[in-house]
Order: sequence, then C-alpha cells, then structure tokens
Amino acid sequence: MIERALISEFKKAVGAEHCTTDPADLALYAYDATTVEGNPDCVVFPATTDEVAAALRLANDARVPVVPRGAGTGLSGGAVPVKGGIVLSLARMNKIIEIDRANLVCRAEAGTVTGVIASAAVAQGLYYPPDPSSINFCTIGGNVAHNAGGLHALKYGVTKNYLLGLTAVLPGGEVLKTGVRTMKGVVGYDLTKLICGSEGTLAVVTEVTLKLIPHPPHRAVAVASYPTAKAAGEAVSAIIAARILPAMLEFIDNTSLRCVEDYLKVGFPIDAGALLLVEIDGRPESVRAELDTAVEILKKNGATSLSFADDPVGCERLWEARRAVAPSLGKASPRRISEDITVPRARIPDALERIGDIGRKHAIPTAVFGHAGDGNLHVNLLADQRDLAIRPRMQAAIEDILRLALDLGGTLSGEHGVGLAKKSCLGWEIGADGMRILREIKKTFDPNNILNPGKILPEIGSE
Amino acid sequence: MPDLSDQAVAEIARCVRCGACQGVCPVYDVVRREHAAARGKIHLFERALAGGDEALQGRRLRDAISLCLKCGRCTVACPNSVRTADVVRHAREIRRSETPKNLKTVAASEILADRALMRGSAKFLRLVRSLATQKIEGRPGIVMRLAVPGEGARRTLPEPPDAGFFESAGGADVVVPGGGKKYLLFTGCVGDVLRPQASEAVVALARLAGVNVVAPARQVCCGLMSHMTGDRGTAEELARRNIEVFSMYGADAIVTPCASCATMIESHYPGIMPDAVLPEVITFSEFWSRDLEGRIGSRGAERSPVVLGFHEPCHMDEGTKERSTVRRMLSSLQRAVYVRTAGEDACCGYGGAFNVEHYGVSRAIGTKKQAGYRKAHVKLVATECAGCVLQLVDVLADQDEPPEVITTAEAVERYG
Repeated sequence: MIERALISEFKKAVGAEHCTTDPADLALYAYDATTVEGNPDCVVFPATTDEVAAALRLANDARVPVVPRGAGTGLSGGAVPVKGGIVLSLARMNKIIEIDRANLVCRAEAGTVTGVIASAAVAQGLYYPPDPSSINFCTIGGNVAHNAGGLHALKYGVTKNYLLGLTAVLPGGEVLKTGVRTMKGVVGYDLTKLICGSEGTLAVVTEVTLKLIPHPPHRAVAVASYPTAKAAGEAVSAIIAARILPAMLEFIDNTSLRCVEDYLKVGFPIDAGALLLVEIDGRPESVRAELDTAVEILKKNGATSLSFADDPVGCERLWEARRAVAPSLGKASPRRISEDITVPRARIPDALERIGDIGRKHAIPTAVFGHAGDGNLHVNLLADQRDLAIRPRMQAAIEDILRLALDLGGTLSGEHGVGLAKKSCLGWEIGADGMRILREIKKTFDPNNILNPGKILPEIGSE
Repeated sequence: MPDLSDQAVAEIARCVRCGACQGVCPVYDVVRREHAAARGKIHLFERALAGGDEALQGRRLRDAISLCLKCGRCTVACPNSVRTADVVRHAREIRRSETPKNLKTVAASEILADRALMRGSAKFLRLVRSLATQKIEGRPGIVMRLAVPGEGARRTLPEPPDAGFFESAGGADVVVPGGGKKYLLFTGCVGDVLRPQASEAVVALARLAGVNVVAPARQVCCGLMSHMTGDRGTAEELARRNIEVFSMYGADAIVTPCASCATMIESHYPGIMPDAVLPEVITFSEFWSRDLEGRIGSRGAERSPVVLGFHEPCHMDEGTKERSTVRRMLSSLQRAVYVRTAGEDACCGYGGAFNVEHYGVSRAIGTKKQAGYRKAHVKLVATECAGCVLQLVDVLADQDEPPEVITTAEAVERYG
C-alpha cells in the first residue's frame, strides 16, 4: 500500500483529476492483453515529460514500483503491475510533434497510436513500416519498449531500425535525451537502442524521434495455398534462398485460417493445410517482375491454388485478415498461450514439423501462424491455461517449444518480449555472463529497482 | 445487485482484452481512460456487476455505464464481435431500478415521450426565445444566453420553426395521394417539432413524384432515448403505441428522415414487442433510390453550385448499401456539389442522453468534425439523423463561417 501523503504528492504533480485510487480504476489498470492480472495502488496520467519526471522522482524517493503503460496491448505481461505500486499511463501524451519532410523524420509523444503516425506519414507520401498487428490501437511508446516487429519486418526491419532518438525519464526523475535526428551517429554507447526493448525496466520513454522512408508506390499480394504446413514452410525457405525479399511473407496454418475465415469471411480456402501471403512492393514494373518470379517458386513448391490483389483496398483487406488471426484464435480458445519463437528461415519446415510433434506429445492442440519470411512463428497452444489439470502439460509443451527454437539456432521471442512470460528461461538463451551484464545495466539505470520490477529479469536465485 | 443476464454474461466472456476497441472508440479518443472503451467496460462489468464487489460500485462504474455513444464501432472492430452497447444498455436497466436518476436525462426522456409536452416546450422556447437565446449575425441557429449549469459552453440550438409539422396541418394526418406502394412517414420528434422542414421536404418530394405517403398525426416518439437510458417501461409503451398506429394504416413501408428512429423501430421494437408485425423501415435515401430517383425532375444546374458536405450517422445501416446510396443521392444533386470530406464518417458525439449527461465530452468529439468541412470550404452539411442535426448545429457553430446543417431530405428538395 502507498501512503496517503504520497498520493497527494502525485496529485500535486499531475493534477488531482489525473491521479486515481478509485478501486474501479485500479481494476481497470490491472491487465494488458494477456490473462495475467495484478492491481496497482494508484494510477497517474501525466501530460508532459516534466510531469513524468516529477512522478518518478516521488516514486523513487518512496521506493514505490512504477509500471509504465501505453495502450495495454502487450502480449508478455509487460504492463501488468504484478508488484502493485503506480501505473504510469502515457495515454494523454498522444501528439505528433512534427513530421519533417525535408529530413524524413517524425517526432511524437510516447502515447501516440502507431497507426496514427503511420497514417500521418502516408499523408506526406512517407512510410513508417513497423506494423504490429495491433497497429491501430497500440502506442509508439509501447512499441519502443518492446521493440515491436510486424508484418513488414522481413524487408523493412523492426521498431529499433526506425528509432533515431528518445526522450526518456530515469527513475530519479532525470530527463535523458538519447540518440540523434541524423541518419548516422556513433557517439558513445547506443543508449537509444538499449532502452528500446527494455520493457519499461530502465527508463520511461516520453518522446520518440523516428526515421521515415519514401512510401513504396505500388504493392501486390499473392495468396498461395498448400496441402501441408511443411510444404508451405519449404516454399518460404525456397523464396528466401532465391534472393527475393518480399515486403511481407506470412504463414497461416489450417487451424488459424479457419478461425480468421470464420471472423472476416475473406474467402480463404479453409481446406488448405496452410496459406502463404506474399507481398511485393516497389515500382510497378519491378513489382510485376518479382511477383512473377515468386509465383514460379510458389508453384514449383506445390501450391494448390493462387490468388492475387494489387489494389490498395485488396491488399489492406488481406493485411486486415492476417492481423485478425491472433484475436480470432482468442475466440476459439480465450485462455490460450501464444509463443513467438523465431528460427533461421531455412529451418522453418523443421520447426513446423517438430511443433506438430510437440503438440501431439503433450496432447495440446496447436495453431501456428506468423511472419515466416523473417522466421518468426506464433505458436499457439489452444487450451485453457487456467485449467489446473491441463496447465502442467501446457507448461511442458512451452518448454519443449522454446528449447526447439534454441536447438534450431533461433530465439525465444521475436517480438512480444520477455515480460513475465519468459523471464524464467531468459538464461537459456543469454547465458550466465549475459545475465550478469543485464543485471548490472538494470542496476546502473535503476538502483532502487522501482521501474517495472519483476519483468525480464528473474528474481535472484530463481533461475 | 441483481446478476447480469445470461446474454450479457456471454458477451462479456468473449472479450479477449486485445484492445482493438480503443482504436475506434470516439469516447476513448477524448477521455483516454480504460473505462471509456469497450474493453474496460467489459472488465468492470465482469468484476463489479457480476462479482458483487461493493468497492467497485462507485462513480467509475456509473461513468463506464453512461460514457457510451452506442455507435457500435467497437463491435465492428472486435475480433469476437462483442456487443458492448447491448451490455451497457442492460447495465443501465439494472442501474435505473436501483440508483438515483440523472434528472436531466429523465426529463429529456419524459419530454420526448409526451409529444404534447414536447410541442409545449417548443412553444415555450419560441415565447422565451429572445430572453433565453440570441441570434448572432452570419451564424445558423440561435445561441443560449447562459450555459446550462455544469456544461461550461453555451449551446447553439436550431432556429425554432414558427409551427411544428403536424401543428401546421391542424393536428390532422398529412396525406399525399399517389399510386404504387403506400408509405407511412415517421417524422420523429425533431422532424415534427424542431425541424419540420425535414418532414415537409419528404412530403413535397413525394408530391412531385406522385408517391403515396401518409404521416399519421397520432405517432409518438420512437422511444430510442428511453430505451438507451434503460427506461424500459417508457420504451415499451411508446413502441406499443406506434405499432398500434402502424397497424391501423396497413402501409407497405415506413419512411423516416432519421436513421436513429429507423434503427429503434427496425432493430429494437422486435426485441421489445416480439409478437408485433412490423412493415419494412427505410430512411430517406433508400426511399429516394426506390421511388424518387428520376421522378422528381430537376430545376437544372446552378452556375455556382453550393459546396455540400455529408455527415454519416452511426445509425445508418451497418451494411454498406445504405451508406453508398446516400452518397450516390448527394452526388446526383444538380444545384450543389457534394464533396467527400475527411472524417465525414466520424461520430458526431451526440448519443442522445450522452449529450445531456456528458456535454463536455460530447462536444469535444463533435468539434473534431470541423476540420474536414473547413478544409473543403463546405457551406452546407447534410445528414440523415435528427440527433446528428442537433449536435452538428451546436458543434460546428463556433468556427468562422459555420456551415448550415440540414437533413438529406431538405438537401434533395432544395438542390435536386
């Protein structure tokens, strides 16, 4: 519990109406898009970097946990205040500060919805490529905190590749400006990219400087169906090996495509073993040529049907369908567990086959979809994780899947982050020395361990 | 606290907390708190209403219940199509039976429910007009001299007509003889008392085209306001009386200049009165495409036609057909140029009782509509909903050269 005196200090710092301890509000900031919950003791809604700094200074002096929150759409429990304390919502800091057309740079406050930035860029003929499935409701601050990926990561990269600089507040209330607004910059350790992906454990990001690129003038999408997941996986590896770099190369297995078809009625062939969505972008003539080559490879690898979209509406519809896969799986199985391992792209067929084996071994139904082109597979265990009779089997299956990722030379998480979900196995990938350095970095930034405690780093002794 | 109904519990159970609703909710966009969007409401209802935790039953729960425009955008964006608006309405019914009522919404619901009282209020407004309101040169509507307590800004109201629609007809039915189908004109409260020009336009156009239209004088408020505020008794009574009127006339279809009245009759009457047999209900633009298009002649193109914008009511049919029909209709106008403006499909923020209870939020949502019309130099905004007309008159007023706001029926009548 937090003392009343501290609450009134917070009220002074951000304004009484922007600080709440109403039990209903505490319940409303206890969750994100996972199934984990934990009530905070207080929620504050600062409007400026200075207010964030004031709130952090107070919390640090009182040694009270602070959990930064964007839109609460994360998938690893990053915004859940499992140790109570303050939820610091950036929802009021939602302005685009500038779009600099001469330098192709955008500055925005951390609570700005990513899709709003992307649309504002498009209106100027520019492109902000990172597009997590939640692009229309997640915030750029949350994207930076988790180094979010998206459908177009294969060709265009992830959040960190567009992040030039930050304004971030340290736990003691110091306002730190990192990075540059130039295209190059190698002065000192790269604090911008250290904070990116730190899940709110090192500093609270309040403002971002992003790189924009010219918007590709044309795009086209091919949809190919395959009799088996493995055949589709082989086609993915073949496309990458053929030195084609699609803007998007997405994989959807049969279970997932049935769920999304049920929701959106896109017209996907529901009997297919798996679907691939291949998007090529660029100048119209190069799009045509590359698409022809890609289609040849898709056919050679046994595509049983092919369809195309080359108008903005048609392409957007397919993206929408792809973005809807995860939430529509939630309909089939609301308490499912979703993993996001990433493997080297040549190993995708092996990964798909062995994920199937793992599901059968533990008798847990699985669904797999994801950004196959960059090796990122969302493996879903379709069972009720609250069911104590099934939970141990789910845990065992997760362990097998994570070990599989590492076996194949991959990583535990491509884009969801560690948060609460994967902290117990962090050491598997990072190793003892890596863990030691992570802890020392954390200590340097946050000596009192007030920022998002309990996330990423396992408690000492529990590894 | 009574339990939530099984249907509400089923809706709640389908929420996976992804947050997609926050990206489309006009209320969340202004309020920026979890309880404003569907995810937060659902979570709070689950914990507070069903779980019986008294600590959660305070002001925030009231806000969660009342801060909803029932525009339905969250349901469209939701991967599981959770019908939060229905859950909210259900929560309002529960709340209404147990808590002190919001006097302003109760008054609004009761004035609307009694057409005589509504007409009386309009007469009263006409009498006190120069005392209570002022006309500002170059601006449509009349501005209240004082703000309603608690509302901050002074409201702009539509200019009250000299007489209501049925008042002008001496309280009798208004009948347009014609061949073919027989239509009943459902004016709605606004189309009778505050904006009779809307109903008059439908009648004038029907006369031009020789379409048989009857406006029964005994019709009453559609009951949407009562229904949405959880006043089930009044809503049932109004539905019963209207259905009685409809059945007396035996029409082929009901036409109304207001999409909200149409939604109430078409989508909510069957739930309220399961046994009633209702004729088809269409809004004005659908009426135009069936029976007016090509039959009302044209007065020829204007040398410098007026620039006309559109506001899409949330209550227009979710199917795209109605939404494209109204745009085709506006594009066909000879003496006006319809310009598609950015944000023409954004919610105006009215929401009936919502506007009464949360005037500041309602106005903040509505004011965002200004930019799109201003950028396109729109002189006139047409819409197909009475509530939207009231809201747009108010929220578009405080800008330079505010556009005039009319119903689509008037647009066709004036500029066809």
